[in-house]
Amino acid sequence: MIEDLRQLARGTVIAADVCVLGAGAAGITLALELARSGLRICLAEGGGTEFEYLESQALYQGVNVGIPIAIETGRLRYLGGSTNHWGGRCAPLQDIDFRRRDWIPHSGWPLQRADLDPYYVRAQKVAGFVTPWQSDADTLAYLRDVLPPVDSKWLMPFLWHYAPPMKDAPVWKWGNAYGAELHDSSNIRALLHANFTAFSTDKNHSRIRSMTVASLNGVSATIKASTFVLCCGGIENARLLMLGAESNSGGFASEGGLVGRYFMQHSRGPAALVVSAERMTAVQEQFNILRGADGLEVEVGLALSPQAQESERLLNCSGVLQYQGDPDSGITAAQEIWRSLLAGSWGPNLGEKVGVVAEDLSGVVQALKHRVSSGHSLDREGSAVIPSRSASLLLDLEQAPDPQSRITLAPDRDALGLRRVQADWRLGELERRTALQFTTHVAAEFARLGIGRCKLEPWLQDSRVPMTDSLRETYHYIGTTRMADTPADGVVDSHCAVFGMENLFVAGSSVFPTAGQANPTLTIVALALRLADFLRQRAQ
Amino acid sequence: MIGRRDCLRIMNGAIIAIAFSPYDRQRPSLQADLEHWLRSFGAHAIGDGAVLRRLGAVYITLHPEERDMTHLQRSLLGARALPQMSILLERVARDWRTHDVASIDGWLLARTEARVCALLHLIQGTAA
Repeated sequence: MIEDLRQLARGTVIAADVCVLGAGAAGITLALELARSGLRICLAEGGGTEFEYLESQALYQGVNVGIPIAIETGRLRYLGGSTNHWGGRCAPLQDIDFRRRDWIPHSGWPLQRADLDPYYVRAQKVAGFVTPWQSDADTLAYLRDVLPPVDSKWLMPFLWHYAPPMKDAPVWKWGNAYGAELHDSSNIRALLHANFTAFSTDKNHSRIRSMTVASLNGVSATIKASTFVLCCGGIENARLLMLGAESNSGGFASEGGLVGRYFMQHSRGPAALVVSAERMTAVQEQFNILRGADGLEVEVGLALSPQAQESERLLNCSGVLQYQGDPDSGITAAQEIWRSLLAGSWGPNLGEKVGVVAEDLSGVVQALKHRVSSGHSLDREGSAVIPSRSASLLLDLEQAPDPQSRITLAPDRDALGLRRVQADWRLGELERRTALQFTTHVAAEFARLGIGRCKLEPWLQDSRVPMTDSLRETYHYIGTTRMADTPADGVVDSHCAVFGMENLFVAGSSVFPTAGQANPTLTIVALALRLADFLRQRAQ
Repeated sequence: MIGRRDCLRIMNGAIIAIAFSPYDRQRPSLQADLEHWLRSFGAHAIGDGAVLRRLGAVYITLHPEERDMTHLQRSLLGARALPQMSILLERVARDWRTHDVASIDGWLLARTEARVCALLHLIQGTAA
């Protein structure tokens, strides 16, 4: 059942087997898995069912002291969490991402990729895919047959699957997808507008007895449970542990001093312009967002091979091509007019563009026919074949774990009287070197294969140009409650249990010790499913 | 009447003219051949001959040790006066295979290509 804390009696006490805080991808997945096995779940969500600024989102305000991040808007505080602005891009982490790489300090998971393989298959279903994808090996074999033969010494084809659209949303969103089941489940008590305010612990601060939640209209409730799981994202999970340690004078893994450290994100941005003397038609059929026979979209790009990462001592990195329409082609002009109309204006140079469309009418008809046959609409960016002689190589770049890149508590307080968050995001030169090497390999392979020639963006030509001139954050907040074998190296163990705490767990990308280059949602869900199995066994 | 001294001068001039005339005849041909060759390998996607010569000038600035035209020509063409296309193509292919790449003004060129651009720039300078 779903309730609104604002409408409950003050001082309500809720008893549950497991209290899950945060109803995003991790929290909803975990709550439903556990409820289906008969456990009583209390799922506390700070927001409501829709975006509300003053009632919820404003609690995410914070302070930047490093590279600025979107502290307030990069994550969303309502049912479904940050999946509400998710693009649906799914890919598992690679084998190498889990390994300890001696050239990357603080790398290495206490898990291997094989440990997550069965959960990745289950995670696909949770993310809306009706049938699981092929294995990596099958996919790569398929791609090798249809893609230009890039040298595997340097690069490998890489594939992202897009979660399917829903009736009421363009991509899979956990709140929309699972709201009805949360509502109907007799084992789940989901509380909306229930914001964390305090933990109550035993004398040693090693066991949580209860958690207090409150709404902004002053209603509070106490949740008593055997197990507590924080599922509030890469920034808030760390903040809650720090707040817990502060108000209880210890515990919450504060002894190791690692909570909030190793704050990472994937960085995304243009690395090079790819140009060709001829129109880039064939390559658009290969490196693009393609629609499969099942109607689902996959994106084909390139990633740095594990061999190159190892031999050149680099991070992981991938890239996709975003094609730029020829300015003299009718379809490009038609596309610009269409987008302007969608935005509610005629746009600049309308007469000139209409003239270009009229002059290239046969090209426009041909392009539209292709779009219809391939299922692409006119307004989809970068997915359909367009008359193009150039493309931007867009990178997704792994960040090296850096203890100085961190989340801490700011001195000022939010509307609930809790200290706000302070972010000090830092990028290092290994990120730039990785981007440069990856782009150089792409350039060499594209030239060798006759695809096109590459010109580096300024930030890769000159190390004095800030990386953030071109790279932007992806809202993939990672690493602040990292998983490790020992408390000296991390905040949670391989089962996501907080070191030194008997009944506190963390789910979400905050437990990733390293980020890889793949989007994190599928791994977040896989880890939530694994944690659900563990908690189920533990409860028996 | 032509004196002995004038006669020697004329003979010297003729010898010099004969000695350098093959080179003078080859220069436009070599330049055209190199530009044609760069085009055939796709470098024209970057720009025309003037753009490639400018990249060659930048390459020389970045690698002043390669400023010697004779040395550059010999290293690219061997003893031949004109480029042998297949050898250059193989060298460029090898550069791409081994990712021996030069970054010039942001453009990523095969090392051999960059040297050809540099040679074009130097030939142009000589002609001017």
